[in-house]
Amino acid sequence: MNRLPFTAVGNNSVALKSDGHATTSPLLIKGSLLSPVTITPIYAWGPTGHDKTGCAAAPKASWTLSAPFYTNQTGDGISAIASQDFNVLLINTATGYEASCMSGAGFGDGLTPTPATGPLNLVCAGSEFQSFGGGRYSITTAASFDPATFRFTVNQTWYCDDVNPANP
Amino acid sequence: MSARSVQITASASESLPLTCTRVSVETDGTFAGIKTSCINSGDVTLPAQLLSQDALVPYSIEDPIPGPDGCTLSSIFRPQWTFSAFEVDSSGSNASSVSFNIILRTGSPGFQFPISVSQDTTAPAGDGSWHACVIGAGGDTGPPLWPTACSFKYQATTQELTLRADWSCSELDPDHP
Repeated sequence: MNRLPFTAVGNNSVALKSDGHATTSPLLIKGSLLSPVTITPIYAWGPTGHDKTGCAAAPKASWTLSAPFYTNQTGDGISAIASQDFNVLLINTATGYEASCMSGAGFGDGLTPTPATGPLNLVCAGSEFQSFGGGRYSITTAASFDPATFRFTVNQTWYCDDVNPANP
Repeated sequence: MSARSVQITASASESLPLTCTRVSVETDGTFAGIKTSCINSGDVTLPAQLLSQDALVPYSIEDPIPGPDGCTLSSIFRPQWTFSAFEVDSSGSNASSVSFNIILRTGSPGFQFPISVSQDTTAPAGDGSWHACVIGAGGDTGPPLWPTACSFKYQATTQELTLRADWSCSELDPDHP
């Protein structure tokens, strides 16, 4: 194939330290393509809170559980079906990311809800399911709730590229 | 956004301070089980235990989702139309009409209806002369992948079909992909 030349243009600013070195390295310069076609790219907005100040200060991160709610309905085998259910709104304080966590419909055989014993696995969903264009990285959450002990367990992965507090 | 991009994974596990109430459930006055409801009146805060903190490629958090070439890149590097349903209809001694279907080939074609192309006159086809394209069943302009400024010629002796067309790609326009 013949060589295809590309032409683009972009600019950015960077502060210098007293020794003349840039305060940020590497430096990103976003470009607009001029040829062979004219394109000004639109960037993905990325996972929630990635550029929120304090995001990367991970040791101070915590979750706020808002309105945890567990219900258990015993069955009688006739008109009442056994079931159990757990809901909570999970908020990541480092990013502000909110996920709604809920158990599946814990219906059993009518007399016993599922699972009969042990923790309920929760499905947690946030804004990544509502909008298109978030980008290649998504916040992922795994959580469970044990009705016997009320123990709530959560494991979450998020992303940060706010200013490094150690080197602003 | 800064050059330092990280992926953070953390966890927490604690028993929640829930308060439970139990009520009997009745159906038509008959006892039908017990419903237990457990809540906490306020919010619960769980400190995060850091499991891992991995560096990512600088500035990569706002990268788009990788995918196959769409309309724009396919048109720059490998513009192709797929032809189908080619027909030469003859009526009478010389008059004949050429028609065919085309689909623009891209890395992510999705589902496209074949675009029908026919000639706008009943002049003899197949003699190698250029004809303006009549696009679609009714000749209406359609979605962005439909060709504009389109013309074709067909040489019956060599069975060679030539298509000249302009088209546009708008998949980079988030409002009108």
